Amino acid sequence: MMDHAPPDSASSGEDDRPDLSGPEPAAAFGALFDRHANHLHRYLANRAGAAADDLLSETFLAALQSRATYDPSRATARAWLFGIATNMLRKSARLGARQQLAVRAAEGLPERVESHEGRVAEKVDAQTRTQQLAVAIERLEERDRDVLLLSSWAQLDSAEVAEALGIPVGTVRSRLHRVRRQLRVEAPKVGE
Amino acid sequence: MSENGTVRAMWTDAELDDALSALHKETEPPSADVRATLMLACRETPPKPRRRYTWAAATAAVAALTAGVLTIPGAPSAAAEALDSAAAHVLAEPDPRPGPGQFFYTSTRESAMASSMTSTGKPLSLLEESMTQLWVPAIRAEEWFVRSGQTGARKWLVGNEDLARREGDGGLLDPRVSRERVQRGLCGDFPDQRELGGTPDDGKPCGERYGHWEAPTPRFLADLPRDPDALYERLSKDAKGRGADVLRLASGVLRAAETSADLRAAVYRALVKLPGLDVTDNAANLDGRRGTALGLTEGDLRDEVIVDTASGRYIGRRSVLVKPGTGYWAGLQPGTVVEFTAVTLGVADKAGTPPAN
Repeated sequence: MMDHAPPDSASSGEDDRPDLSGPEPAAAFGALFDRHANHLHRYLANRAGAAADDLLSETFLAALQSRATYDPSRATARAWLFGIATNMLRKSARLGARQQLAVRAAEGLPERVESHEGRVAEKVDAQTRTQQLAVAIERLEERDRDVLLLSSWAQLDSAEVAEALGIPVGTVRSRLHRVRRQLRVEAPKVGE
Repeated sequence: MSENGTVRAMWTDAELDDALSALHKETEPPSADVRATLMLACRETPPKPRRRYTWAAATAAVAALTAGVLTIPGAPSAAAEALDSAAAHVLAEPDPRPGPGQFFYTSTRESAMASSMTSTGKPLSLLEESMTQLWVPAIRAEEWFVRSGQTGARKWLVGNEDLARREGDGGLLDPRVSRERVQRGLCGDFPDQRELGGTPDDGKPCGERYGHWEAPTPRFLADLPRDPDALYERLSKDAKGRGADVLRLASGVLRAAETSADLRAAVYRALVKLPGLDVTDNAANLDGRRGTALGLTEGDLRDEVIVDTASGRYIGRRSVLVKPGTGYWAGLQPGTVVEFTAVTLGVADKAGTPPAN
């Protein structure tokens, strides 16, 4: 279970502030990729499905290109990378790529059938609820959705979300609070 | 969850988090191509920017170097004279602008250093030349044309072809980077262009795009101050006070074909105010074109812009190593040109065909 402000995951923190400004980027970016690519890819795949490989590639190429703008004293590398990934997602959404959450909600989630009948009913109920949530998230404004998912899925803390999205940390906290409350109230009603 | 058809008032935070986690499914790892593409791009990227966060060390290094290594330490007054002369000439004889149906033409010949190591651990370094030709229609919303690729010209700085072949090139001579590409796109939107990081101009109509120092649109250029003091202040602010970045941003405007004569003159006069900028070579030869090099030394390198003071034309930029190379520059002598970009601007009648002269 998570709290409102998810705790730092293992990949954040002071050792995630590499100097990317050296004249030979290959070593730094190889290390950066090995550390963050799977986490970013999972996030992108859950948001954009099959486009995840392309988006991941564009994210790292963009990071390479704009490495002069990365200031390790300001942001962790993963906050910076998730910020770029968010821009890539927004751009691909503008280009008409289908967002995946609603699609997956319609398909239903993979079932894990349990032997005990009560457990099955519980599972099915949880699945319905999850699908409802997916639809509700799809209906959120883009900026609210980004704050929610960067916090919940990407496990960024509020300061990192603020860096990733270029908004004040207070705005992140209040937006997160509001959107979580909205979902807690609204999600169960969707489709009723 | 709902029971007997009644709607629950609200989820708990825990229920919301469980549902969010359920939506965040485990996925397959990314394809190996993604990493390979990144590594290839790292190789293609010019060896810039340099360290930004180790100021104390860099400044100390510059201080230790100042007198000995600069080739022709010109006086600041020499720089002011050269830039004033360039400004006066560009105003007296502005370059022609394209008429209806014509194109702004920019050719950029770039030599950038690439380095690697043989499988036996010996350093390899070479300058690889690439060429980009760009045709921008007088009406920007119309179709642009760009042709780019490596020319195949290469100059070995450390090691040689034989050694690379015999003991492994560490990926240095990857043939995949040398292909020529031709692209077309309305308003410069080339279909397979990697738009990097996203920009505030994404998705905007052509005339509403703004650009930035290194890819300026006519709107950006029109907004820049023509007063040299105000322009220098703006440059310095946007470069966060770093001299090398002032030069980089200024040359973004100087190499833009759309830059008008009055703005070009203002940039030259603004650069007069850049502390430490001196004439470093009175007869710099860039791709066969001669001009005056104005340079600024930071750390291991001296960055220069090269200007033909007799016509006011901007010729290009180069970076020169100022001390015996270590690390990425291992094996290189002071004075080695490790990178240059030569720019030719003109007006073309037809996309794909350079101007006659």
